[in-house]
Amino acid sequence: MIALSLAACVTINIYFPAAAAEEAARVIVRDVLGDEANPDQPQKSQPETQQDDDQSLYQFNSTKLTSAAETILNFVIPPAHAAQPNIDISSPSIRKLRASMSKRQSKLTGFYRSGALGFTNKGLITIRELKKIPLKDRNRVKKLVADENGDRNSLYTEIARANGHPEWEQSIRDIFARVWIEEAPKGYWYQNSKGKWQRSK
Amino acid sequence: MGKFQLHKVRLSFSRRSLRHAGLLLFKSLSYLVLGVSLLSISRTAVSLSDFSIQTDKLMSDVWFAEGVVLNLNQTTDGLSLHLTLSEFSHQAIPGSVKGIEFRCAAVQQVNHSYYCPQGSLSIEESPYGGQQADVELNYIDSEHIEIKLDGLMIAQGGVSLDLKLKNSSWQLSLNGLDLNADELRALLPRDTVPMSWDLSGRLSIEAKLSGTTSTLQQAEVRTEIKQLNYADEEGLQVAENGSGELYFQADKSDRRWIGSARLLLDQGQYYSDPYYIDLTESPLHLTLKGDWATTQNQLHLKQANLQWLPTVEVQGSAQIDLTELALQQASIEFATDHLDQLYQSIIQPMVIGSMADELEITGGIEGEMELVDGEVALFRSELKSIDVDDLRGVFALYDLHGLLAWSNRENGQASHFNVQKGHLYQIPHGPLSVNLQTLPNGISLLKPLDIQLLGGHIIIDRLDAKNLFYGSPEWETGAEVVNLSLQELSTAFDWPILSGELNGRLPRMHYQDESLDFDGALQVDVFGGRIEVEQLKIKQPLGRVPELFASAELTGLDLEQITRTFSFGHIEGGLEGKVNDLHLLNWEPVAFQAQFNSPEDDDLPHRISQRAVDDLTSIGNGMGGSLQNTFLGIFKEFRYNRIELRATLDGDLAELGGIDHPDEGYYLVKGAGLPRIDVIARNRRVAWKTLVERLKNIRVEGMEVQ
Repeated sequence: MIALSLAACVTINIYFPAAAAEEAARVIVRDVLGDEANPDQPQKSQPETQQDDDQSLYQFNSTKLTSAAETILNFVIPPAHAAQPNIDISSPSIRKLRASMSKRQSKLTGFYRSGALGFTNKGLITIRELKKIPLKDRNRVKKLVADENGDRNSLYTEIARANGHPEWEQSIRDIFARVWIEEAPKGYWYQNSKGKWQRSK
Repeated sequence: MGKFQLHKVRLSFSRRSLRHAGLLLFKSLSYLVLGVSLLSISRTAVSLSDFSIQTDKLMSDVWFAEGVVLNLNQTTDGLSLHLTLSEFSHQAIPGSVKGIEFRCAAVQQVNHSYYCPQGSLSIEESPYGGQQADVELNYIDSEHIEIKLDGLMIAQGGVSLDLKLKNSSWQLSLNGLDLNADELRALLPRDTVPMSWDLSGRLSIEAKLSGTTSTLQQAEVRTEIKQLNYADEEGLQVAENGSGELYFQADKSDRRWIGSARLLLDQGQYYSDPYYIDLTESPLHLTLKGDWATTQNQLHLKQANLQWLPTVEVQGSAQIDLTELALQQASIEFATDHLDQLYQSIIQPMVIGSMADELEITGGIEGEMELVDGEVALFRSELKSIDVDDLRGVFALYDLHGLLAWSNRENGQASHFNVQKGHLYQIPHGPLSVNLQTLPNGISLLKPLDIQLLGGHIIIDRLDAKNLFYGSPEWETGAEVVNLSLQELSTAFDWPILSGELNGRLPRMHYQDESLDFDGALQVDVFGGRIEVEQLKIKQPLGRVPELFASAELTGLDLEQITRTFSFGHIEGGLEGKVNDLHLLNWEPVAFQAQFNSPEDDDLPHRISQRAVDDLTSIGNGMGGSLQNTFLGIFKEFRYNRIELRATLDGDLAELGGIDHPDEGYYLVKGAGLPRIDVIARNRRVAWKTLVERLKNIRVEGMEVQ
């Protein structure tokens, strides 16, 4: 009886798709960093969403006359693919956050290069040397940092939520933290796992 | 010629409290030079032509001299004096002075006074470097001595001083020209300017000091500052190319210094985290009057006045514990007609990262503030013609007048203000009259607030907010929505023009943990029927990714009005439906369960135009006009039996359904009569993104559906 009971117990584990998350993170990070992204990193292609826009998938069924008195118009929106394990980064909120970060990037680049700003090991950015920022720019840069971190925090939350697993947020953040550093252009500063600042080579 | 030598003489002076021992250095030297030697000569050997004293050590409790040699020679010009000390140290000097030599070729004697008009002092080594100075020394008597030194080089600048000692009082005038700030730092008390700071600049100082015995009684110091640059290690305190003047004067009374200070900074950029000011175009004036109780080490500023920019003026008083560097109490009055500059310089840096960090503010304020133990205890300000624009586009308030008062005491303060107009998101509103009570950590409405907008009103009958200033903000309110015009609402959001009204009673709206929950329902009287919205909840309404949850029920809608509004062909008939578990993320749907259908007992005629069929199919296949290619193209309208659409959205996937069809698929429109037309969908799971794109592509009277 016990054996039967044990045999009847089924545990369903939902594993975090780390590889897909890393590819998704790399797509976003390269998109945000733009031409600055580290070209030495291996390029991996990544569809941005499982439900792509490939028009060839659409089935166009022309109007079919079944009889002189009856016309059936097929409503032929394409069927969605069967879901595969993947990370969706195409939701409107994620797109909005990515656009916001991409737009901001050009304002941050010079400060990354000077070492005034750096990538933290928590997937955020921080002011690492205030002295390298001209006095008149300091509060503007502080606001850029606050806005960037706000977007990054929201991005990690939204990716987890858009994929139906809010509990993945920390795992996604960890992956992004690593990918930001891996993709950091030469000369950018980042924190290693022990919190020590290093310069990307 | 006689010769008189002393070897290994040890002299000791009576113990005195020398708090300002630096000044007494000169007095000690003068006594050493003249008080000891000349008096001895005058009393014992005035007739001697040469006189010499040599001793290994001389000392008191506060100074120490070694290798002292004094020679006096009678020459044809008078008496010459030559004094050398191999080393001298004093507790006021951070290090020893070596190789001291003082010469006076002609000491003039008048009665019992001795006057050296042109002496010279040389020092080989000292904390201030080697020195060469001209000396004028006037020994009138043992209680009246005057010394002038000129040509000293301290901190790369020229220094001269004039010391007068009379009985127990003394006066010192000191002039320093073009002193190097970095080197001068070493001469100041430790940590006045930390050695870890980068520091450069040129200072010119005029000081007049006076006192009695060892006590400083009066001080008047004027300092001119040029090319001042400083920066601490982290860059939190920085000045670049600063210049200005500092003046202070103080008199000692009992155990208290009473005085005033003026600071003018007329050039440069200054950063004191998080504040930044650029004084290039507008100097800063600060005047202070007060007293300093030395025993308690407390500074009492009775009057402080700050003027910066033509229209920013702050004045007040304060009590500061200098030992703890703690502001114990302060009263501040402020006024400005340029809130924009005050916001940019003072307010915005404090609120970076909050919703208030991207505002454009103009207007003026005038009021007062009290601080106790470093924290604001009372704030009261008149608000004068203030315009506030949130640059993110969330809200704006124009022509704001009134009084804002707040206190950390239990009793609430009454505040009131009027706003001429404004907007929330794209919705403009009319005049507001707000009467509220501010509490230590919250606010509450004293009178209902009537907001005029969209041709109607929203009446906020109560509002109680808690934890506004510290803790997790929480507020509760109730509102009645009266006759909001859907036409004006749709115009504001650039939607197709709707007709109808929005009404509702929301007895309780509660905000906590960034979530706004609504009790009650909103009724939207539109398209000849009603949409009732319930279970409304908004998370992070002002955040980056707001979320909305709601359910809605649609009854008695007229499809003819709907299709006319959206120019979606022409459909006659009734429509009812419901939307459950609607979830909007960033104002876009990510989940819902919806059903729309013709009512069972619909009395309205059921007709659908050819164009409506085309539009419907164009949503389905991305291309319209298919009907025109058939013989049915000659018919402009068709009759239908029932319209039904069910849709369940979950992320990017929508599950669609309608009236069951015998084969696979489902009817969206089930036709009736002849010629009969059915719209049948085959796929049940569709990409929501594609569906929305096709909806957007339907042109509606020159605009796109958003």
